[in-house]
Amino acid sequence: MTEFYDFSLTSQRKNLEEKATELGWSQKTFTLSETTISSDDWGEIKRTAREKRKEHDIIKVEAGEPELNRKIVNEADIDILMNPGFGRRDPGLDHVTVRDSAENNVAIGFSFSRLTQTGKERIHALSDLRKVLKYASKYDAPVLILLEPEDEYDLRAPRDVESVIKSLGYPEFSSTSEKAQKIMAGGGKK
Amino acid sequence: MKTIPPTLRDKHRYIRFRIHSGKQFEFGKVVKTVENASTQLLGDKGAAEADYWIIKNKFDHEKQEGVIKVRREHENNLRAALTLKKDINGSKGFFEVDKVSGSIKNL
Repeated sequence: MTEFYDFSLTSQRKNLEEKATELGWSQKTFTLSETTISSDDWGEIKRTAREKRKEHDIIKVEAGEPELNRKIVNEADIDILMNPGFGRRDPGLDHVTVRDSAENNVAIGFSFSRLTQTGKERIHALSDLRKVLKYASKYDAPVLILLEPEDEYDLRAPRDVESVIKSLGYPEFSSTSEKAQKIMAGGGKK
Repeated sequence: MKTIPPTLRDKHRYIRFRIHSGKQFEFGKVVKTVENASTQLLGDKGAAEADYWIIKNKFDHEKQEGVIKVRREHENNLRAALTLKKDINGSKGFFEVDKVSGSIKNL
């Protein structure tokens, strides 16, 4: 049976486990711990990732400039590059960065909350996602949509999240399961 | 009006959905929300092409479940539109698509 993983449904959101399981998400991710690093300085990101690697299973880094994003996807201690293109006019990364992310098993993550905005913000978010999917489709890179729920009303069923990717024209992407399994199999690189 | 021959008839799929929310919504409000969601994502053209219809006598007010008829090959677009809706008639809630089938009977 297909298992669905969302790396924002971790031990920090244990209170949502029952509802998430009812919707079809795997319980395995609730045993993991995650952390997010936010910085513009590569040295600080690298240092913090190395320190937190021992304590956390999933390390996410908020994306920045394209040059920084390239370094992030080549870093062994990082699991997910979050929201490239946020606040920018372009997707924030190019096909070379996506190829590197595929080689190093670093996923490119999108917050679901960006997609539930209305108007210009949603248009930009969907546009960025589509471009990333286009490159990721060529290089078989992992792309994830993370729910990052604040309460149970931010949760969605896994197949419904998949439908968002399929509606952009990439039906071969089952990012809620196979790609996530690849990262789970990486053992969080711990 | 004459019956449309099978070759010219639009093919449809039926989507069973459930609403997760602290409140219960009337059928009319659910219809408005679905319309809003589909237009926001798909635009007028896309929503028109999807040719969806929320079936009134299949809406269960107690369970907050219903069925939408949608044109084949557009069911995924409608599903994505419902997924990206973060409130229902101004209240917190979301749609979950339970099943998609070629007939109402098999839902």
